[in-house]
Amino acid sequence: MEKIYGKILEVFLPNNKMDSIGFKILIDNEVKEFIFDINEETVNILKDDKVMIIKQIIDNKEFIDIFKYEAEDE
Amino acid sequence: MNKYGFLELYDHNVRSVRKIKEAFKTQDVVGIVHATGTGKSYNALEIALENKDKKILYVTPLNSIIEHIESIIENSPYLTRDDFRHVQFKTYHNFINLSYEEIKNIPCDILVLDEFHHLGAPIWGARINTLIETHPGIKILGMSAYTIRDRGTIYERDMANPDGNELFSNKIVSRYDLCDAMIDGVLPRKTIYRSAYINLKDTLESLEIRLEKLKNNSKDYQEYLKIIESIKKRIHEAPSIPILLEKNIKPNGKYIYFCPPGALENTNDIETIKKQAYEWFTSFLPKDDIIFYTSTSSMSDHGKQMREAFYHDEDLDGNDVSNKLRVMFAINQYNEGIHAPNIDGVILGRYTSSDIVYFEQLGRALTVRGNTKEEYEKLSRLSIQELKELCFQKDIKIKEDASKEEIIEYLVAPVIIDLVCNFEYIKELEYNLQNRIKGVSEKGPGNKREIQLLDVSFDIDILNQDLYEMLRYLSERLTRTWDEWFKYAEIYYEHHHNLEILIKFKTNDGYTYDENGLINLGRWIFDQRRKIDPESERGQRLQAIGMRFQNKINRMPWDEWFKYAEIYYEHHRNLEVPTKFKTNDGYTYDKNGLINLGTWIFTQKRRTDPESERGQRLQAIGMRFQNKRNIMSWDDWYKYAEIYYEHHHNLEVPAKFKTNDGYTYDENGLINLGRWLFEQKSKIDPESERGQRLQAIGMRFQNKINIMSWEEWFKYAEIYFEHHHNLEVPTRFKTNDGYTHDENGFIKLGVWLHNQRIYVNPESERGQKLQAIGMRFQNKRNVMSWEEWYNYAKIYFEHHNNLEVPTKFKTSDGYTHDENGLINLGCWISDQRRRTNPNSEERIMLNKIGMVWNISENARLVKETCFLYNIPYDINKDILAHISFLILKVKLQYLQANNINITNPDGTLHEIFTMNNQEILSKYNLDMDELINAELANEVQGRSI
Repeated sequence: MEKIYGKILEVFLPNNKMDSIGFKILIDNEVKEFIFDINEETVNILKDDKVMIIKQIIDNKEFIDIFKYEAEDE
Repeated sequence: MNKYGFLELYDHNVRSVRKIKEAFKTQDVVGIVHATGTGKSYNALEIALENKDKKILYVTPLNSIIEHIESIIENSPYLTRDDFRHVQFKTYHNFINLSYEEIKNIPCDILVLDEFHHLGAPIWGARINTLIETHPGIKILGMSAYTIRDRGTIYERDMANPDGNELFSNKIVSRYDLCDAMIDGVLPRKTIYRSAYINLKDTLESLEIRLEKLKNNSKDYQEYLKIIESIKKRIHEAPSIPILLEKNIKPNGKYIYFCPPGALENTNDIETIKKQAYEWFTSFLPKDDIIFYTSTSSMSDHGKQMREAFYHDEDLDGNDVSNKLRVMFAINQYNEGIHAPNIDGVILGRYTSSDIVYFEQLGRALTVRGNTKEEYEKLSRLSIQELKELCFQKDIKIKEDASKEEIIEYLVAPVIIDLVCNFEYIKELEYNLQNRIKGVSEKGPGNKREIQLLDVSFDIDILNQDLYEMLRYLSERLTRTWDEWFKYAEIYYEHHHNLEILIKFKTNDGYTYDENGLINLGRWIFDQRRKIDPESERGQRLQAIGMRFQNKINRMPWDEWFKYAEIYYEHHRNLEVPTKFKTNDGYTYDKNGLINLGTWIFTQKRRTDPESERGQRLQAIGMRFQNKRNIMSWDDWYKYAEIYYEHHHNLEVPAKFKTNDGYTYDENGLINLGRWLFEQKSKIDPESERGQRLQAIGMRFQNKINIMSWEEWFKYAEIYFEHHHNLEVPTRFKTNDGYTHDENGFIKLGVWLHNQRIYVNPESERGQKLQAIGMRFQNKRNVMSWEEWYNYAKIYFEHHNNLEVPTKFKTSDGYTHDENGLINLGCWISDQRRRTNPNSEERIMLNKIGMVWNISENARLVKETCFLYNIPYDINKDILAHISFLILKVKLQYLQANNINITNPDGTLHEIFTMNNQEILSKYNLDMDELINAELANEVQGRSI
């Protein structure tokens, strides 16, 4: 399991991908793009939010989840 | 001019504005549900005009609606843009990429949510929720034609559900539907409706293919073949679409053509539709007399140019084209809120996806405020006979005794050309209208409502209706092959990413809900779920596209789910279950698994109270409950604290210290270590295990003893000395004044002096100052207890992963060599090796931290073990030459028990051999102490080598 921390630079709706939400995330001074399914967690992630991405490989399949962390009122 | 004259409000809008204002006196959220085309926006504009001292945020689904509202303002003889300077317009989409701070800083006292049923869209809804959360006390006005989003689909959601907890639940103060608008004469009193099915030939061809699959001698085959042959003959005789258009389209008319969304290229995309329409129109009009416009949400500025040209009856070069046929091709742009002026009708080319979309499109055609007055006056100059002739030419049926006024009403009535057989909706509207009028009439003389409608029957003419009905009959009866059904299921899955289809779901394309759809996919899926063996080939194929054969997800009790979570935890040593993780056994990923454990864990994180019994049980197996702070586990945070300590040799982390690596300050750092440590000081009991761990890396817990400077402490020591003339302060001596013992005293002077005796170099400046007031320094080695020494040895082991402490190793912190260090750990370890009783508790304790008592014997046992387990010794010499046999044995047993390879493909040992106990605990949730205890318990007297 790999935990990656980053900051959201942009939230976007991917073309031709219904039920998906995209994020451009600053990770270690690099901007990386991720697409996730829309769910209660992902719809509440905003630009500038700090996030944790958990990457796991289970039974040869890679799973990637994203979670928001730390308060906005920091 | 009435009170609301600036905007020339209709009576129904005057009434609703009054209701909104009245409701705002007692509630913050108010909604109105008014039919498309009845001028909902005027309500919001009136509220805005009356609240010029407030900041108003007006949110709409589309930019084109904002353009329309701006045009209302520009075209008003009484108002200017200055009257609305306090109003800011935004689309829902504008919020998607705003930060929390940006949303918070939007000035807003009154929030207007246009077409508020869109709040059911997850992202738009979430952003508006953030806006509301960050603006406590704002007033919210919602307006919509319909409150339900995605009717008939699994996503259906009523944003004003009276039994729900939606934003507009029980907040609707005014309802005004199409029937109301027609009765009041707000919408046209006559409507011409022409319907024809454009896909007759295509549908017939697909039915013929299906029929071929039936047995030729079957009774059904013979029956259906006859029907098909009959349809074939009649299709050739059926009126064509160009004929329908020629009769009902004005050569200089203005129309909106609604195209289907989610179109397929070269099939029903907007350009293909335009080509087809161009062929139809050029069959009866010169091509130079036809102007096409397009407006889709992706066209941006070009779309705006098209809309402007269409509004003003111009082509894109600004030439007047009001004497030509003008057709605007659109998808959603004209459904909601946009008033296209002076249109003569709409062409419905979009399959029915919902009654909401249908009536929105219809509303655009019915919208008043056009130039019908001008047209009316022109027709008034004709004789009744000339008017009847015109009606005949246009196929408009009129009564023999119709008055001149009635005939003109028909001639100026908007035309709806329905090419996809949505006619059942207009029939429903006609039926509802008749019932409504009946209701109004039955109210009797006291009823003040005047019925403006001339005739409650619409002029509906459905071409080829019989053919359409025959095709539908056949389609329903001709059994599709299983593979054909499966293809539709696949299409649904590709679009919706699941197969959770409502039983009533019907469609024509596999993914769009259509009440009149010929393919009842919901029923088929329902039947498959009951009939098909999940293990069969078909069952497997369905599961591959998301089929859920059992209602296990719904029926399983919480405790059963929890068992699967426990199994996952036991195998993976964490509960970070990926959201998409499915399984049948709890730990193996299976994309067709029936246990959607990822979703269940995701839901528990959000729904279960961490303090509840269930929350506690989940936390006991590693659940990380979802809040913004604790997304990093305590151990994750602790690791960063350790890194800080290793670099800075203290834990005096500034409260605003942020970092990415644990020790370098970074203003944009994501790890707010300062705040976390600050919180730990107040949250954590210094005596608890966590408190102890923090103190081991320099944590100073928040009480007076810790926050006082050395000089302040020294002053108390001086006071003590002045009173007692010595510094032999008992360790448990507490005081508030420096010399009187107080059981509840804040100043633990005895402990402080005890520490000074240990940590301060007698030769240092501080040591000298203390000696000046009677401090008696002792040889540390003599005053430290065995446990204190052991703790230093443990720190060494944690850092170096062995206990091979050089004899001359001195330290102050347990692991760094310090020439002047007061802790001569090397010497102590050497002493222990010589003096410790083989059966003593101390020996067992030292075994736990890797003590090797006999180096050559240990090396022999390690090598034998390597031979037994096929571990290449030379490759791993750096580890094996220093590890104690006991530690090696325990780690090997753990790996074997969990079916984990002992060595990597290159022969190097598994990483747990290079990790310290803390790292192992963090990564594998494996407590080495517990394992060693268990191993030692298996040995009669503990294995001591």
